[in-house]
Amino acid sequence: MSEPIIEVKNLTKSFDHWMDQPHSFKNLLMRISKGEWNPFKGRKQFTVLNDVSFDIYPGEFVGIMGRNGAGKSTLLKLISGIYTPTSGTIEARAIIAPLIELGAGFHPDLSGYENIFLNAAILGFGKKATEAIVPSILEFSELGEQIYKPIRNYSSGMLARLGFSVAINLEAPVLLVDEILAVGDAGFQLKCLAKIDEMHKSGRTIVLITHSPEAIERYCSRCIVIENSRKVYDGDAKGGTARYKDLVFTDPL
Amino acid sequence: MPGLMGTIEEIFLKVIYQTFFDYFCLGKKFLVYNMVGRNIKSKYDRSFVGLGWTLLSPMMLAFIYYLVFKKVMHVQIDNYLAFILSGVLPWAFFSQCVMEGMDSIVGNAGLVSKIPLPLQVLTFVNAVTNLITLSASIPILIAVSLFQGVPFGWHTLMVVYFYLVLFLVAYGLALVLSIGLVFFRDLRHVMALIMQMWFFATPVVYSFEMVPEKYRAVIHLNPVADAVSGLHTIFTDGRMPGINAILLSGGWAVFFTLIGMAFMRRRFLGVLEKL
Repeated sequence: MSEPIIEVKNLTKSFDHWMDQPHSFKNLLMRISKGEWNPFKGRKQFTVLNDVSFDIYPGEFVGIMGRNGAGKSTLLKLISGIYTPTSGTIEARAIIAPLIELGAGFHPDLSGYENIFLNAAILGFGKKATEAIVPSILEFSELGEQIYKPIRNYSSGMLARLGFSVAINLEAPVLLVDEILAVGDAGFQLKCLAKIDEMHKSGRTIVLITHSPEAIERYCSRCIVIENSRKVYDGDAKGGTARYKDLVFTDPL
Repeated sequence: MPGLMGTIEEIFLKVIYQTFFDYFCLGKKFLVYNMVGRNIKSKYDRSFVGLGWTLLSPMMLAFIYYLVFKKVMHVQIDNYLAFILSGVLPWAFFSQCVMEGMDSIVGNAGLVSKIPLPLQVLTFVNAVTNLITLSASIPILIAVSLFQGVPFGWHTLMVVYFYLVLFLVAYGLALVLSIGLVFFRDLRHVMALIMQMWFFATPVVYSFEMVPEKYRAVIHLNPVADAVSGLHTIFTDGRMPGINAILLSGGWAVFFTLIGMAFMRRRFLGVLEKL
């Protein structure tokens, strides 16, 4: 097999979980007056991902499943470079486009059309690239004349549609998609998934976080299940969804 | 990335160039352009006077100072209207730029924790937004100083220099404060107090010459004092500011730029994890 496009090795991420955090000067001064000089006292480490390793190869469509709070989104933020690992390494050999939130930076007072430019700029598009994708966004989002109205009057579904239409035009060879499809009606969700699948078929590598076993079984070639901050399953999609259903239905939190 | 090839000097130059490039967001022009546009539009789109508010409120303040200091207290400064405007408008810019810029990470937590953006971009966008509104003050200042009979000439161009100085000081300071605010949320209140004191520690309503000789050295330590008094010289005396004011204020601009650059890539402080 070819070289992995993303290599995650022994990745561990802990957050500081403060029992009483000196978030203000008053707090800090009170502690000092009590004779507690160590500002790090009361800090507890809270491990979100523990020794997770996997490789993702070019052209794969990997689904990541896990219960709420298992560490899926943290993993995506680590891969996309928003967080830095506590220990372990992440090596990415291609440009990664994270779709963690649809419509990042949307401003309610601007029109949908203006927000396309704003959102595209935030996602890293240049001027020419944005101008080139505007027609396809107008078509995919199906907003019609509404596109010239301020988006504060849009429904959440319309917002999702607009955000997704911009995001799917990212040219990066790797796409990280985080549960963004939870919004929007069923028809739109199917349309988005179909679009993502189409991008996969055109040679992109996709990492998808979802709670939908159907989507995983239908599109993914591989599934990773995360539970209690560890990777508990890595294999074909069918086995992954079975494992996920096991976790969700037999072992309630 | 500096390659393995190349001399030490080449690598050094590359690093300097890259830092400069990142600090002024030169690789993100389209983003800066769009976000500045968003800021300006969103601030004023639904208000009646629009962009005018940014200038109108400091101008009202300047008028009040004019009444209090000139008409009531009889301050001995010529062309006091031009004097007060050329101090209050840049100061309003500076303080707004610092206070809003300080909020650029915490206030945009939803954005920076979801999109891998360089953290300095948001602070830079805020500073540029404010600089644009400040530049609208130039015609007002020129008009008022002409009205008061202050000559117009090459020295007027120096206004651009001093505005850039204020911009650089405010940007660098805001960048550091924006990171500080993540760790200490009440920095906001502390800074509100500091800005009030700073206003009176800066020759805005009084002139540099009114400061007793022995305290002048202290005033030079105020990063914006020389820039503001330079602006006073331009718009009330109608001449080129002294070389001291030019060099000292320029020095502060460089100093704050270097500080800002040092804090620019401090991701290892765990800023985003803290949000």
